[in-house]
Amino acid sequence: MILRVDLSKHTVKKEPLPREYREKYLGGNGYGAVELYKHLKENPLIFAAGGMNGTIIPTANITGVFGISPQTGFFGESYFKGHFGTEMVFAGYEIISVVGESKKPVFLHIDGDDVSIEDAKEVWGKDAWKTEDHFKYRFGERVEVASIGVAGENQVRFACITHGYGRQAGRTGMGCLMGQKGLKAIVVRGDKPVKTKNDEKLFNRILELDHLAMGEGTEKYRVYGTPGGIKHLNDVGALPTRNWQQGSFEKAKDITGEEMKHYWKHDISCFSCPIACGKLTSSRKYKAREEGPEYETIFALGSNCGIHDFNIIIEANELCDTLGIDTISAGNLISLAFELGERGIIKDKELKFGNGKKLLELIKAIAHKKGMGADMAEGIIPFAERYDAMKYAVQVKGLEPGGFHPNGLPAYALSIAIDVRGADHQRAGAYGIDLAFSDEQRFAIAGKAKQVKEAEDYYTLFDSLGVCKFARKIYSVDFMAELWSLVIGKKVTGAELKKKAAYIYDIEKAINVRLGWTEKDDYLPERVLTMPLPDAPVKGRYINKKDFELMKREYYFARGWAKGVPKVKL
Amino acid sequence: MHIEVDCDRCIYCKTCEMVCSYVKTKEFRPSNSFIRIFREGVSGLGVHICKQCQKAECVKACRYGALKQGKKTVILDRKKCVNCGRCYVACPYHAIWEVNGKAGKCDVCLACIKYCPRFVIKVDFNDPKS
Repeated sequence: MILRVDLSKHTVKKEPLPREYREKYLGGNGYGAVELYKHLKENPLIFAAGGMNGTIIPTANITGVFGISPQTGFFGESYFKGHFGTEMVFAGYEIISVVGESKKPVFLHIDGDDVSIEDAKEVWGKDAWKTEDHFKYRFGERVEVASIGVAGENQVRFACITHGYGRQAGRTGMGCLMGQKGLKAIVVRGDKPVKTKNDEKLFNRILELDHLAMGEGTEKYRVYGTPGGIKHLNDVGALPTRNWQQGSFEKAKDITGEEMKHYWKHDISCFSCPIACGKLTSSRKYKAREEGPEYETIFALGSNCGIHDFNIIIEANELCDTLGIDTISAGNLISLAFELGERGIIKDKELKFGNGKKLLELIKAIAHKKGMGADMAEGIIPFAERYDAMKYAVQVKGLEPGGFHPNGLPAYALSIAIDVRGADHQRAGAYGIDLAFSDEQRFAIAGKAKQVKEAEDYYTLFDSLGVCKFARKIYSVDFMAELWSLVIGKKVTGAELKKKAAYIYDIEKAINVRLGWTEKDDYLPERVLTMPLPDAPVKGRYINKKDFELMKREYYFARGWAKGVPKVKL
Repeated sequence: MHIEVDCDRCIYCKTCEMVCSYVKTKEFRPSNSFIRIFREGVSGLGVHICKQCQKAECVKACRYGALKQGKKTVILDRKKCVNCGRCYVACPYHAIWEVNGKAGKCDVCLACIKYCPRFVIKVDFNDPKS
């Protein structure tokens, strides 16, 4: 079912899911893209559940949030795992589409078939965790909540949506869009069954699937969570440090996953996932207790700001989570401010790398839009332009990249430049393509554009079917096709799935074209194109502009896009 | 004997709920499961599951003879249940609730133990008095 909510008119409408949707668009990413394409003029905020959500398949639990991004002005998407997407399916809704703007703050209460728009006076102004506590106390502990914090209410451009205390749809500012609509939270509770065509066969495979998910392929995530990658990426010179000026951090050993074990309290996982990459940590110094920090947070608020104290990173992460801002964007902005401070462009002596106190202050200032935080809350392009410092700002389409230094990773550099939602590490995971080589081949560009395209299609399948990318070593395309065939009761091959994924990606690009995309928008930040990295093993590396243009052409060719524009007919 | 969950090691994946609901009702439907894991605040996990008390409050509350005190467990006869709701209120552990129009509670079938991916569910022979 599709739930259509109009906040201006205060109406709720239910529609059956069109029959072709499931086969053609799979779920999650596919639903979001096609719904946004059809209703682009209404500026909707769309929550879409993954195609295999609610089945017993390990890690199938994704929720995608889609809309026109307030941060980039282009197609915006962000995903969070946890229990929200499955609860949506148990309530009977694959898609929740919210349009219009409410004059006073409201929240959406979904209890199976009963859907209502209710007054959110009591929770407006509260942080995301307290909002969640409030609803769990009010409606019972089994409701699932997706809410925005103070930053979302204040329409900070990179505000996030928080679910389950530690799961965020952080990127592209979907929390800001939710705040613009006056929607504080969505509360879901469902008690319907999820029926697949082969329930019994799936049930008989639980032990086999769980055994796979608990195997070697996911060991890194199981033991250390995402921070397990810090050490390796630092060694290969891909850990962005001091606002992307270096590729490795000399104090990286203080912020590795192994070091995080000292602060570790508990493992937490998402629905039907045995991996449990979520690590609850606590800091006695700041009396903080939270889920994370993840790899991206440690890079953004840690190495990129020159900070190597886990206590500060944990506290900063908790502040970002409760106030509701994206840690990657916040970290990148603050590190830019630190650099501008050190270069004397901003006259503030406290702005320097490694100043943890100032970091915490700035996070609060951004969320409440006070002082310099008010400038930063508008996003990285307006902030950098104000100080005439675009050459220090690392961003594509207004979105800051995730924590892999592109200077030594050509495939990854290409993938952030051509990505539909801006500089994005999750859409292709293209750093894997480069880092698969340990020799000179890593810095070569031959054939990598096509590999990026393949990787994008592969990752689109994860986002559409709803399984987690952290289990990518067990889910090959053919294995996904096998499970998807069991779910829909119709034989599907891996090649067919890939074709569908490519089509979904075409739709997203078509949305961008409708929103005014031109070829100039697929660029790389100046720092990636001109600044040679200082440290081994990537000493002197940067992306050659000619190489980049060549790869871009190759990529458009592989996609079959003339001048980067796809042909889409819905 | 009753099922006990080690909440300090539980990862909140709800596989047990999915398995329980499928074994009992042939549907993947966690709201129909006889075990319920919940999260309170950032780090608090808890579980609702029948403790098979030795002098159970639910047995005292039942007026229709649906609940009986067995040797090692509390036995529920769903055929006799009329869903009056007295046992739901009486249980001090909130471990019995409505499933498909009648009362439902754990009958120690051990399916959740078999399928728990982190092996945190076990059988405990020290049943509480009430």
